[in-house]
Amino acid sequence: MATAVSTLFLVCIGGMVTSKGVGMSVPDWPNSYGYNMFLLPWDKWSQGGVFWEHSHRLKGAFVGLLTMGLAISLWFSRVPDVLRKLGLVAFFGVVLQGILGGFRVVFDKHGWGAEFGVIHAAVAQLFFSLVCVIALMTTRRWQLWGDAGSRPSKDSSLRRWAPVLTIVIFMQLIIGASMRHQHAGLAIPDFPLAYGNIWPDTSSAAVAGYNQARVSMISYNDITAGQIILQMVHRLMAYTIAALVTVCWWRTRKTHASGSPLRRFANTWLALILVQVTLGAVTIWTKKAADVATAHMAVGALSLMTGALFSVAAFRLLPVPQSPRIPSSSADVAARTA
Amino acid sequence: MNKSSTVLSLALIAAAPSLIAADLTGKVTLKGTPPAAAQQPMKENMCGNPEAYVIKSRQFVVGKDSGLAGVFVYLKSGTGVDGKKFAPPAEKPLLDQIHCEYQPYTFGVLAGQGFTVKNSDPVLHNVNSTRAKKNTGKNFGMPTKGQMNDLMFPNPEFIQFRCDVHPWMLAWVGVFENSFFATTDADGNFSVKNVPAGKYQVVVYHPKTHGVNEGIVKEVTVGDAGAKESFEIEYKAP
Repeated sequence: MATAVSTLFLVCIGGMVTSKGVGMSVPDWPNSYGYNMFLLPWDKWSQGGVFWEHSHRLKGAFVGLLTMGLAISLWFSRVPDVLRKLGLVAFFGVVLQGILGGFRVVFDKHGWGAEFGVIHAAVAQLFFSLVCVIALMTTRRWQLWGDAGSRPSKDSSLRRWAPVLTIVIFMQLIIGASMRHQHAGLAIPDFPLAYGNIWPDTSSAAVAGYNQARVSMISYNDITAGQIILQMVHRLMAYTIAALVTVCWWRTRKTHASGSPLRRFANTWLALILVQVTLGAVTIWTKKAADVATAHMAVGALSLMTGALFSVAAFRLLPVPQSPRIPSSSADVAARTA
Repeated sequence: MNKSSTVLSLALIAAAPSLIAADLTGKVTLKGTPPAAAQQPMKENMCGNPEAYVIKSRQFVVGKDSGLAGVFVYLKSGTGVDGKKFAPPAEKPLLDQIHCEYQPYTFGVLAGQGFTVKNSDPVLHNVNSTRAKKNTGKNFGMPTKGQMNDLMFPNPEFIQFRCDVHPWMLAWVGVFENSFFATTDADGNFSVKNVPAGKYQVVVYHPKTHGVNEGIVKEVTVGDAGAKESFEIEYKAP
């Protein structure tokens, strides 16, 4: 649980780094301004963008240590093999994530900063969900759910739909990360319309006009037609996800008693998605204020995590769906017709 | 007339067309009303300035008679530049960081010509060249007041400089293929010096307006007495 909470905090600091556009404020890696990362004097990182970037690195190292401790303790505990393996995956995941963060800095000068930034963001989301799943699977409640007697015999379609919906949310988060790591600010500055239309004009003349009008203190990159379309896809997917999570919540409500684990997950999931859609709109209305944009990213991470927990809980609690039985003999057919 | 002075005279006559050089001058104006400059309020003693002050965005700085400041003007091709190589001068322009602003906002260098980046502030800046496609980007810290670093880009393109510690800090460096370039002053005036007489394609590039596009290209004939040309950049509100 400590690793999960620390990871969420780390993800939020990382979000602030991107929201403020200060990912390159410490230009070297693994050192920081030539110092060992842990020995950078306070007066060198107490200001501006360096504070966020260097805090992110230190916090990342802390989460790395926590994850190593988690993996070691799982390995030497009496837990199911799957948990041991998940602990190892988490450990290698956090190492990979640290390297990706470094590559995002080192390869920026070669024009690969944004690409590594998106991968770094995507792995962060997966890692956060993974440590939360591990946290859930190490609870006493998880063990109780495993008792055959406590298994509710309900509609098991949630076993299929919850993971699918979680994957759709992950795809949405990748689109969001791609938008954020273009460092181009808002590709569309208004909502619910887009440049005053239902679908914006993406001709080269129109895009040139949009760019000319984007006067700001921050040196955002120019936007492209592709980025405008990407934001429109992000909006459409948001509506779709909101509708599908609502359906999922309704189905859970109909098939599970109030207070049951899946009902609680479904309630939380729907609430998060509604908050997330609202934050998406507020991000635009506040001209992508760093704290709001970071909150939008963080609630996205929580939505993915809730989907992942809902999915593993559904697998734990719901019976395997049975295929319709196919009559295999004439006696069987006779029995059915009788 | 002795032999050597005859040879010198003949050489001067042969080189005469390329020795006739004059200035290409003019003005770049903005048509339309751009958005108001964005502002960054700064408290006293920030970035070495004892007084509170306001930093304004410089994407559109409009002066007298709609003159647009900070626009690059350069010769793309023509009589005096085609097929010629230009040796980078030893002179190094200065890009200063003072009170958390880059000064100047735009300036040009010849490809291969060095320039100096200075930190005049008592705070750390990082100098980050972005949007470089034909040159390897640079990003380094300048923690000490008075620190100077020399930079050089070998390939022509427009490069944006920013400081990620203070994300509002922004400057543009134009790296050019030949030595015939200028940037407009506060009132949009420019002067490209010592252009050999001939026909040229002149490009006017405003970073905010033209982005990844080339800019305004115009055919200009420079005579023995030079040439004067006006260019108009249009602000098209979306």
